[in-house]
Amino acid sequence: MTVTVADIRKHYGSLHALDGVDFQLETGITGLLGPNGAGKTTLLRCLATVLAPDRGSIDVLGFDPDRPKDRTEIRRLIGYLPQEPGFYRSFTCFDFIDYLAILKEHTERADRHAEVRRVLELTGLSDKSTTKIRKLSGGMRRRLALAQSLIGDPRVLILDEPTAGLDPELRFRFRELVTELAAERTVLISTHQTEDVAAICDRVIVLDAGRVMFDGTPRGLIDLAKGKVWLSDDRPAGARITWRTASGEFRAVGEPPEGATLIDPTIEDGYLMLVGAAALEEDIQAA
Amino acid sequence: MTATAKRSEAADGRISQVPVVLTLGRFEGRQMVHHLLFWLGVLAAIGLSIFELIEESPVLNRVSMTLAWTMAPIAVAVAFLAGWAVLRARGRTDAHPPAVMPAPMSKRVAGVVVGLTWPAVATFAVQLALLAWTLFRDPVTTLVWTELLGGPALVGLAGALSAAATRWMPHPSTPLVALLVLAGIHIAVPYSPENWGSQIGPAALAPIAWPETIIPYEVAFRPSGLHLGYLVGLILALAGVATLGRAKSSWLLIGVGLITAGFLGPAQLGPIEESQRLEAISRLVGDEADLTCETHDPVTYCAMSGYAGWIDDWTAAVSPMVELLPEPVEPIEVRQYPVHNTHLLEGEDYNDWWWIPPAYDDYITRDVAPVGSILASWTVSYELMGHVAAQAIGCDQFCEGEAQQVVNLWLLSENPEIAANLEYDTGPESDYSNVSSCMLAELSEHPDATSRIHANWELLTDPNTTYEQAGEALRIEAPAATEEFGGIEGGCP
Repeated sequence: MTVTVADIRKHYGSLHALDGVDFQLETGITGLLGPNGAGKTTLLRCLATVLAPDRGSIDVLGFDPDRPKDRTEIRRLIGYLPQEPGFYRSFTCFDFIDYLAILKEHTERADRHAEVRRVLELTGLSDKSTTKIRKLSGGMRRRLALAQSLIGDPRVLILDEPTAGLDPELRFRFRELVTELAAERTVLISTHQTEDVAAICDRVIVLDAGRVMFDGTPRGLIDLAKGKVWLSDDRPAGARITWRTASGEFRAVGEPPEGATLIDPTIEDGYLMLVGAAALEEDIQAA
Repeated sequence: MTATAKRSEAADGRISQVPVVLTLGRFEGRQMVHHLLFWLGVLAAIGLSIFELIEESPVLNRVSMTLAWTMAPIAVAVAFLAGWAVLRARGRTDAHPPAVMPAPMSKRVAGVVVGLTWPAVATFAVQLALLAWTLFRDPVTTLVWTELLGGPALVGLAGALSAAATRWMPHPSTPLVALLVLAGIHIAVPYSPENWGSQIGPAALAPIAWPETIIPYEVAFRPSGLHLGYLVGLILALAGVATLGRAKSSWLLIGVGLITAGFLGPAQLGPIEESQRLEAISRLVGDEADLTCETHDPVTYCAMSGYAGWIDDWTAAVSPMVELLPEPVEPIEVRQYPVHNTHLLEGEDYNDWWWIPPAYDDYITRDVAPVGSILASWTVSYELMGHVAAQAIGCDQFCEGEAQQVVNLWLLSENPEIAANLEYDTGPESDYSNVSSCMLAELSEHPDATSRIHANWELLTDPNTTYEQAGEALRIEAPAATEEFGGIEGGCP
């Protein structure tokens, strides 16, 4: 196991951001889904050693983040893309990555610069290396943030909403990159993009109210909605959520009426069945 | 993005022998010296230096002092850049990328402090460039490196102060507040009640000038070496405060810095022995007893060895006037020496004066060339020519005879700039009556003025010869002076 999380809890006053979370991660890509406020970012921050849980234990690559020396070692070995990374607007892309590479203890100048060029190339920013960050679009900044998480070829990648703000083409390229990286690494992706999870994740964990609601394969999550999705000519009553499709029919998720035309569910349907319509609406808005 | 995510070779060699702080220092230093604000500071420093030095023939030990404090604009720029860099290095939020890197905050801030070396070295390079410009301008005396290094030290001090303040009070405006506090101390200290400021005078940014030896400025004893050490002590202490963390080295820096500053601060305030002052004069401008003399007939110029390079300038200023003197001319000597008294009134000290004490002019006495004055200015030529003219006419320091004054002005007006500024010395408050200048103006209308003066030289240089007698001898009219005014009221007739 590369990452083990055992019964961790984190409270902010009366709010239980994490309330007894357990799981283990191995090589491959794990998607972390959940509505806003489910505790996803808190969980990732705990794994990235930014936050210490109130209770429970974490093990990353055999190191315990509770111990200062281990914490430093974990920081050497992981790559972390925060949800809202700060940028230094007057830096060029190269300088930004170079600075963070130094902080990651890449002190040999030639090697470090080679590494900076590598991660910029991986994220398609080679031609922007001398561009000031203030001149980058939102999507490019997201790619730059992703680039910094790849410094040093980390064995564990913790990515908090990596595809937010990326256009469809870049999202496909991101999928391509992450799937290649995941062949030898552990990747944990927190996202609202259920289609990304369906496309690239071997495993999905759904978090809600600080608890693990589901831990299994994307197929397993989809199966939760098996027999619960149907099409109807009229807006059906009693469905958890309904929307009009391009063909003019209504797609509904919930308990189908007798004789309904059932269709194959998607991972989004499974997620909806798990966390409820309100959460899904929140996620749609957030996305 | 490419599909090829090959493993980086650099990743395997991540832990190198080069300390992170040094690498960070290089990065931060490069960022600072590449920043527009730094270059604005450099331009301002160069402009200020040129403004201060362009009017003067360079006196190197004085230039050393000037090129230290004129680097203040760079220090201001670096204070801001260092503060902002610390703000970045702290990480604005817990989730900020620097906060999740192996290098802890203390190391990240230490990188900024180490990076201050770069702007300090760049400041020294700016000073050297300005010094090179100075060297093309016929400089005299000796360069004082400990004074000059006050510039880079000033940059380091401002940066370290700002870094320390921002580390513990993280806000974009902290560097400004730190600079204002520092400037406030600098300005307030000399005017402190009951003179307590003199006890903490070293808190001032520039090397201090010793009150008892302020005149002449460039030969005053200034404990610049001690002051430089004191500044370095402060920088070390502030660097320690900025980088406080788990490492003991920060406490070591604070300790060493405070001990150094605490020892050298009072030491530079200690009493100055006369022998120290004389040694400083001897070291900077040469020994008073060992003058370098050159004779350009009929004038012998004796300069302190540090100023020997100016004898040619003095000769060039005086020779045209000497050529007007009738043969034979008695030998004349111009001898240079520094004045040993400050002429401050009892109970006064330097801190009571913003610029220079009013007795400043007193140090120029007969046959003394001003030490290290602004030779480029016509007023210095005037003073030099005045000493030579007075001796040629036979005046005792000042020409009191009426006819003597006319001849004196005639000689001095050989210099066109002096001629154009004769009113400078012939107004109601002047040493000369404007009757002299009116007679000179009338005389200058005659092409044979020189031969008229030469023909009557004995009479005109007699201290008892009056304007009326001089006018008769020169065949011009001497306007009558009103008794009350002592000259001609309302200008020449």
